[in-house]
Amino acid sequence: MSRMRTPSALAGLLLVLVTLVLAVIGPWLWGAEAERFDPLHTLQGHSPEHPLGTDDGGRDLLARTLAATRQSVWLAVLATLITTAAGVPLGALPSVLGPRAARFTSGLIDSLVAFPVLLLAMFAALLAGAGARGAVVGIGVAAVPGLARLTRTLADTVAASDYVAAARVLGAGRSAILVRHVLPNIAEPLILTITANLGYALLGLATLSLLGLGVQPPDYDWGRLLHDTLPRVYVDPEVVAGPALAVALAGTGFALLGESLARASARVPVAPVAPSAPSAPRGESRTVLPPGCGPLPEAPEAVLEVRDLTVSFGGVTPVREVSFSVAPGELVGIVGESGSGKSLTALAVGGLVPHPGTVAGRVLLGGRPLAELTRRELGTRLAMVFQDPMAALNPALRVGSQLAEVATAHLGASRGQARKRAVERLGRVRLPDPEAQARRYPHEFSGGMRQRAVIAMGLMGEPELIVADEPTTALDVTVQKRVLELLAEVNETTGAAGLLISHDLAVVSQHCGRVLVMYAGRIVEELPSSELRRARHPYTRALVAASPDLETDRSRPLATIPGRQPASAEVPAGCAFAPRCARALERCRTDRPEPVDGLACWNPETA
Amino acid sequence: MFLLRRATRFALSLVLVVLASFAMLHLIPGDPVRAALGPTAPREAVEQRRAELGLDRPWPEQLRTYLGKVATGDFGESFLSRQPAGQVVADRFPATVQLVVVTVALALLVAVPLGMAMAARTHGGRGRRSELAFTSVTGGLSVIPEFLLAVAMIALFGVVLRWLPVAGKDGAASFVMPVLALAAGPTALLARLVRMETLRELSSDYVRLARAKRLPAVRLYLVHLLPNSLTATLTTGGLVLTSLLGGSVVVEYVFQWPGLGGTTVEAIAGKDYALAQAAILVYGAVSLTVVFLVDLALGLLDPRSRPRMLG
Amino acid sequence: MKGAEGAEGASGAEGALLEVRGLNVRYGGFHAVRDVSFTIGEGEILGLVGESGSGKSSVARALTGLAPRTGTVAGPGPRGVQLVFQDPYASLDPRMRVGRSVAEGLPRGVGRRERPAEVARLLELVRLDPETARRYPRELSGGQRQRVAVARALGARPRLLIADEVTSALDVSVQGAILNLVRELRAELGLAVLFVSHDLAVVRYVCDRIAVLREGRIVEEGPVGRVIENPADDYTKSLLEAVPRLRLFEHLC
Repeated sequence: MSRMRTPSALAGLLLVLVTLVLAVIGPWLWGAEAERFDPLHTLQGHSPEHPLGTDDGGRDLLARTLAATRQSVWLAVLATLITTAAGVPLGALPSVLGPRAARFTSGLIDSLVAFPVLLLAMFAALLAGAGARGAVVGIGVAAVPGLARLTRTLADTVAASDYVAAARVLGAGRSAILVRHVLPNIAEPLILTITANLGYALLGLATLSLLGLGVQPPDYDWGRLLHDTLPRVYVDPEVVAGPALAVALAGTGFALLGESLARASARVPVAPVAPSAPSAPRGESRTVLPPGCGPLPEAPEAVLEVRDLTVSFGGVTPVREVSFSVAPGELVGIVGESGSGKSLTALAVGGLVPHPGTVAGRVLLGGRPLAELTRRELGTRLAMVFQDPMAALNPALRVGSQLAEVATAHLGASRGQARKRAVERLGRVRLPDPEAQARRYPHEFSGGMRQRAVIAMGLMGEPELIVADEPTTALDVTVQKRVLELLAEVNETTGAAGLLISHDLAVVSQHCGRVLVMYAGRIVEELPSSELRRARHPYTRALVAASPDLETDRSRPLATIPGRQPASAEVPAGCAFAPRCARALERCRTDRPEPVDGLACWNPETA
Repeated sequence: MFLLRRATRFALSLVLVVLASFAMLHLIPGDPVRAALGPTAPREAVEQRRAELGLDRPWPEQLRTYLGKVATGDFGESFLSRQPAGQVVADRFPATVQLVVVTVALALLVAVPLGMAMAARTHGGRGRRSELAFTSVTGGLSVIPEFLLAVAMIALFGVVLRWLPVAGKDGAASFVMPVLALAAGPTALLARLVRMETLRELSSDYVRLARAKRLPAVRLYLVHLLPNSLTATLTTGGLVLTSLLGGSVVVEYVFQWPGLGGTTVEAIAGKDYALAQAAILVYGAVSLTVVFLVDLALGLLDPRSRPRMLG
Repeated sequence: MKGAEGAEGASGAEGALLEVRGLNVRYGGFHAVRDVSFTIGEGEILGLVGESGSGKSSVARALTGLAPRTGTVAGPGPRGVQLVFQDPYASLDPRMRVGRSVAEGLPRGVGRRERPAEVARLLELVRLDPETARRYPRELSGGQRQRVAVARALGARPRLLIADEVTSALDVSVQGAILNLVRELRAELGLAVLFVSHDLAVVRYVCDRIAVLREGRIVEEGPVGRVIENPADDYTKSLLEAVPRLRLFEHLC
């Protein structure tokens, strides 16, 4: 139970246990003492016999506080029962009722939630009559809208899920879905919330009693004790300490326990962090050469040079000793399946690896390490394009100002100059009427337009490198084509180096001269994209064979790759692809092949 | 469209409040006039009072009269003091408004920068200790009820240290304890919300792009993040502001603040139903108005809910 | 689901398993599907291709009762048409073991004792180890989950399977296995399939006939070879042109 380890959950649990024990034993141990009148010692402050003083009947306040635990907790339980009995069905109803009735109940719940709980409680208590019964009904009823709304939100999420849709298609009725899918999936968060509600009921009841609207004498709970002792706080402050502390500790105990557990259970479980497999001794790193394309790396004109780039998160290393370089005007593709480390490589090249990732190796932009570049140089010489254009622009700001800020922040441009530049750049990515587009908000743009705007944003400086991470995965094919053509064109006309990351071999091959194929964090092959069908690495071959295109032979089953890519925590010692490789030798499983001439394989394909 | 929907719901809820306040007198078990005047009051006095209040008429007629009166601002007479209830509410309400407005201002001024700063410090799993301290402190504060803080502060600052006045409303110093007692919970809750929403925004793509543009931190947080996390916070946190209205009743009672809260408690305890009716009507209407205004502000702040520009 | 609806269960045109005439889907003021008509024969795989917003998923949902529709639909009854969803991570109840999820599809007639055997048979049908029944969805890969979803749908003994973008959430190396499975199920069970996808290359590989949807209307329909090699509609042509292809020619460095 790792979720129990937060201090608030532990504190809550401890307080709840103490409260429950006191509720059971309190009246037995201190009940008689709490009821004993002592007319000679009324309204006393602290004394050795009465540590917290006495009340107007000379009864010991400490004993009364301890004995009141049962009454206070019991009333809170009753109130919570009312809340649960009404709130959960009311919240679950809309998912069972027809649409019109559902809308009505939802509207009612939403309206009621707007009222302060305490006022609702006072209103309900007033109707039910002053006294313990009225207070319990009041507090119980007042919490109903909140619980109902939470139940509805949870139930709606489940009801809208694909697995419920699947059950409906299979013919399951509304009540069967409620019992089989909805209730089990909302039970845990609901139970935790109800625990927290118990705490709030305890506090609410104490509040009503304090105001004189709750428990009436001769009965007493903590709130009533507070009500009676409050006027004396100015003389003997210690007399309120007992009931005040009791309410505070018990109430917050339940609330903390429920809330912290509810939060913990709502959190997505974190992937286990296992120690990485021991990596092979790091030899003299060789430069990856594209076959037949001459020695590009080491050449001084390379805009981007990446050497032994390794990215780790704790013990997990999703990117391992990646080396490559990109020349001016060149567009290089990185291809791999999900989990291959290609996106993280892109982020590392952009200097954007999120905390707590650590980056080892070298990334040189224009011959200088990334770390040495100033913020301004990075902001103008490096441009990034991300996958989801719907999320990449700030919804609250106009598109024009999101472009212009690059110029004001880094180029010392005035607002007017920056604006002009932004409009000019929007025109350059061929958005019609750039003047008007600059004044719009991102939600008024289509996906393709947004991706163009992001590319234009990269052009605000004088980019030497453009990194595009799956820039068209979220777009339709017809839009994808135009955006990729724009990227290639920008690449060519500005002379910037380009890095195009994609899961789609065909996309990369169409626009990039060179392709790097990544598997389990490493580059396994580097080759001209025209050579993809004649790839030498079995993984590249298999990937090409598994991607259907418009010429694939329909009479034969599609090639598949058995097994799955190892997670970065479980990469084996030898070649990571060996367990899925038909050509694997004994050596492949023990000895990792270093890249030689753009190929990391002991037994490459020949023809 | 959005505006219309909200306005309709607002209007319907207001009607609901008026009906509830009317129904109140009729839902109370037993005879409210007898209860108010006490068991010893002579039968004639009770009958006369009932006639004065129109309680002997059929209820549809009573409802019509009631609606007419409410529309003209006439809330009837206090059962006990025989003053017009509307007058009592009008006398008392400004003190409540002062208390609540100062509290809301304080809560927002503290919670927003604090939440954002904590988000900046703790995002991506860094600053584990700060995170623990923040969540523990705000978690505790957000569940401790106002009256406990009030009592504790009175004991400490009022009685033991004698720094601050313990009751009443007299000058700036008298605001300190009530405002703090009332603000602590909502501030803690809002600060948590702001942090959560800011963290969510921090992991979004547009922030990643803004980082890729290497914008200065001030611009990133104030221009890019603030509007988004603020609207997100108010969407879920708007109700915190109305719950504050409920808390003010207790705080006013404990500090003997001359506001509407204390009057309401007295009216309920003393079975002064006309006054309670008026007070509940006012509280209900104000809560609804606050929620409505927050909704409106959100609609205006978020460009996505504005009508689409053409051309 | 209210409105003019044909007699379910009645068979339509000769040889057709499902006949759809004048199908319309409206969400409030939004008209997602407009007057769509098509037929699917016994054991036939019909591809429904379109870009986002073309209404292809709305057709899938309308035919399975998940979206409100008007028009005539004649074909197998409700349980005879089953749907497999795009996202295998969302379409299985995380709190149910795989076996229970699959058993959900079984007809009432299957008794409690026969269920485990039937579940095992279904899992084997989708090339999964019957032991998988004891696992939870979170322990499975995306491809395995998608197979479980197919097994659950097959449990209802459908005559028509609607596959709504079933491979678009999967990696290339896994996609092929699911596509092969669809074709094998047709061969083994004579199952008809409505294969909804945005990917023309995938549709071409799997389907016998293709219908191209644009803004809620079918703009072209025909045998797969004819539509791909000789498209009549301009929109189909532009879709085909946009399909990225592996470059074949030598490229200058």
